[in-house]
Amino acid sequence: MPRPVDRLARFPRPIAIVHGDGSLGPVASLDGDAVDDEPWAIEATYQKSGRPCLVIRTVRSSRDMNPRGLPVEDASIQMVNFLARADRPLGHGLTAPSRASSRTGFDQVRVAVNGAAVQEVEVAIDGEGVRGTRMDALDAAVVELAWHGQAVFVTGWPDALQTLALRAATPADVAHL
Amino acid sequence: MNGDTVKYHYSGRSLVLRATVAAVAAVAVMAGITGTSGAATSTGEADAPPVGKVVEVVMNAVGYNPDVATANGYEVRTRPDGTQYSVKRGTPAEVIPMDVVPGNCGRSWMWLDGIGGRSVRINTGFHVRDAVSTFSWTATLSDTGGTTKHDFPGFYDADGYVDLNRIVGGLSVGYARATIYGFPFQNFAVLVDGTVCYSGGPSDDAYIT
Repeated sequence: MPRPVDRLARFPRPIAIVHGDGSLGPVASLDGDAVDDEPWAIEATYQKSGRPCLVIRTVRSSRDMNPRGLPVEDASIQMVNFLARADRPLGHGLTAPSRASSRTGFDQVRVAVNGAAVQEVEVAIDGEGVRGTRMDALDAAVVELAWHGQAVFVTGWPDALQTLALRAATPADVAHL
Repeated sequence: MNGDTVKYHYSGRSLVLRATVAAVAAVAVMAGITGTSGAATSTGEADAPPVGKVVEVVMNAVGYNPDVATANGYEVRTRPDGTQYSVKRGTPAEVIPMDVVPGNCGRSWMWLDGIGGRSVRINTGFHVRDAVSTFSWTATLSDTGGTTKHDFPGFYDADGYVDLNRIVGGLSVGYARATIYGFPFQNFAVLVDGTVCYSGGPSDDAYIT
């Protein structure tokens, strides 16, 4: 398993994390995913009470990749995956989803996200304003930004996004992981 | 499997595994490898209509990662017969858990749905008997146009319940199959007590339109 600092070094462009310590504390985990062994995205997760409260997912540009079989990254899939981690009741039980419940859960989120109002927002990254969109649904929010040719999705509970400012991560930011 | 949910119980953290020292050593090496994945490269299997899909299967505990165990306050010990077990650090040496449950450490699943637009939705994951320190999880997706591998981020999960979703686009019309290959492919969860728990190889099929 690659160390977070190595994962960060292997990613082709900078990845975004929260600027300043604030109430979120340091990055709780830095994980990545890949397509055909090529780094595809990195997620910086912040936690409260042992649960994710904010996930910042930096998705690389697909310009230099074969478009066949690439993941589709949008607000819906960010919300589905965030809620799957953060909104699970304690003592959820050891029961896998059935096909029906798997589909239903996904469709409910997609309908809620597609029906939500989209606001224009501006978020500071490395001190510069970056324009993007914000969508609130199901008691959570997703902010989508374009940065260095990459997509940055910030997904979390609204209180964790209240004073959102980001910056590029450095190895020192993940050295504790 | 018909997709019905399955309920079961575990005996707790003191689970004993009948893993040989050799198997444990092999797993320790594999689990420590960085950035590689042993997913299959077959491209022909998606050409035929699907048969015998298995969407939810038992996971197999194959060994321990002592580094993870140590980091979480556990200790991996070896019995005279070569089997290993994990206990809280400081547990007296004479206390050897005997509730032997070979192999089974959780369940994993795979659901693949065609959603139109030459795209599919992958829903995969697992639930295991303890919190997850990290995991390595790669869905191998074969359609009539070829095979792509999709790694998921291996985050910590306090409940031992990991539910992963991905939409994949740009595929070819026809049958497709997604699989989380089992041991020795590197699809496993490392539990906080160091147990390395491998996918049992769930697989599902869909038709891409």
